[in-house]
Amino acid sequence: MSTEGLRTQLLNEQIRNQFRKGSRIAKAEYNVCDLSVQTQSWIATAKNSSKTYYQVARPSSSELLFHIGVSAQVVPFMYGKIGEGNMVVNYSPSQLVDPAQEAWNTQTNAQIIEQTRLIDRGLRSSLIDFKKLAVSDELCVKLDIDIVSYSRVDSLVDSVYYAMLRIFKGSVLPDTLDLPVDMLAPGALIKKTCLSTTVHIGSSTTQEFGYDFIVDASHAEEIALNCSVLVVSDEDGRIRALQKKGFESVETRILLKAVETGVRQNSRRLENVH
Amino acid sequence: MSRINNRKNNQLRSIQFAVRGSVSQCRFGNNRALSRVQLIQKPNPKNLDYEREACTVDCRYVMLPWSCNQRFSARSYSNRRCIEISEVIRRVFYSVILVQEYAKKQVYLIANMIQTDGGSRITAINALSLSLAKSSICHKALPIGISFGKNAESQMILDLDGSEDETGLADVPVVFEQPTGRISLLQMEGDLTFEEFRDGLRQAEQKSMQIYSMILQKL
Repeated sequence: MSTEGLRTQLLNEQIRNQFRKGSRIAKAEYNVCDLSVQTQSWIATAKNSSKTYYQVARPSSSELLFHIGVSAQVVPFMYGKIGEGNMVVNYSPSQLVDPAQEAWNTQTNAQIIEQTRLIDRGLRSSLIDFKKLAVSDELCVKLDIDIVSYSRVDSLVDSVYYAMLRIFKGSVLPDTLDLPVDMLAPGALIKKTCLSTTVHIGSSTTQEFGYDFIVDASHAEEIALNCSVLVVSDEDGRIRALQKKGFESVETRILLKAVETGVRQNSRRLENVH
Repeated sequence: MSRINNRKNNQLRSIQFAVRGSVSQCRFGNNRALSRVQLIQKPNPKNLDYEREACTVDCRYVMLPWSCNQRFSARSYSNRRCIEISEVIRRVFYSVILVQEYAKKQVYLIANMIQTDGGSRITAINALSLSLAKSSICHKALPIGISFGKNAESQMILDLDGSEDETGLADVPVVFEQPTGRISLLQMEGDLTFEEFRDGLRQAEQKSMQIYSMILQKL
């Protein structure tokens, strides 16, 4: 048997044991990890411009830990984006996860680039209102969002959305940037209150225990379940972004059910955010 | 109300497939893609997958410098967009190729975009499907790409072109494995209700069969 086959077999056995112990059995179709976000106030950084400020969020779930730094600078409009702000998302897994990973050398790893662009697309299309980032006829605010993760799990994107929502809801841009007053109000930059959920589509192992879909999969579940759908939806239940991940294809009927599950899950989580 | 390009809401752009030797060409409206699928019998050992007893599937999606309004660098394959699209195309084809049959070999997919006008990844996938069908590589289905979305007038439309993509409210590229109808790629950004998404997906599935039959005619 190949290494991959043996690993899948072991993981499936691990998942079975997890289900037998009842850690996934809550008489519901999914259960949810606790996710807490600690946001701190803006802090000045010594490097780069003196007008660069960082706000650090530290969300942690049972298996996931990462830091997000959001910095804001006032810059001229980007070419072709007159009247709108600008944003750059950088994501890098820490060397604590994988010593072979060279920190911030993300240009060559396709999966990291895909994840970064996924976060970027979701934030652009739903959460942040870029028109509100225009300061004057020539200047706008540029946001740099730097994410470092200390564990490898797919639910990173979900947690990042949750953390970003908390950051933009509860805090303001630094007043030292001489910005208009309306930009400094809490939540002023939010376009729509959105969250994302990765729905893993069940395998024969999970279906044995009555689970067609799994939300907030553990690391073992993520590797064993090779197909997932990321669903970003807003408070009105409208879909804002979708992405199917994994190597396996999926039937249309099951995909539609997974999307519906994701939207419902997001609505439930958004109630807690309010 | 009609669309900017005077097409009906569920009307596709003109589609043409051609084969020149080992290279396939796909024209999807103003999109033009050239593609090739190669089976490398003795790949570089660093490209081999030692964990799975299967071949590796690699893809290189390249936008040529003149392919869109803003000039692309000649090394466009190394920019983040092209790397991401190469990765998603690789996954799409990994799920249809019988990878276990080609252990210690490499399947190399190359798609060059000559001209783009919205839906370039879909065009590249359709061109690669024709190349795969023409090649001797065993596969269980053919990936067929199509896009649907919502235009600025909030109408659900199929096969968005560049201007509709820029001004529209949602864009959903989707790839169906035909004839099984399974979905191997789905990306969406914008604003859709669940019902709109479901109806759009069903319409796209029907139209993908039309593209599939066009590819079959070329074989």
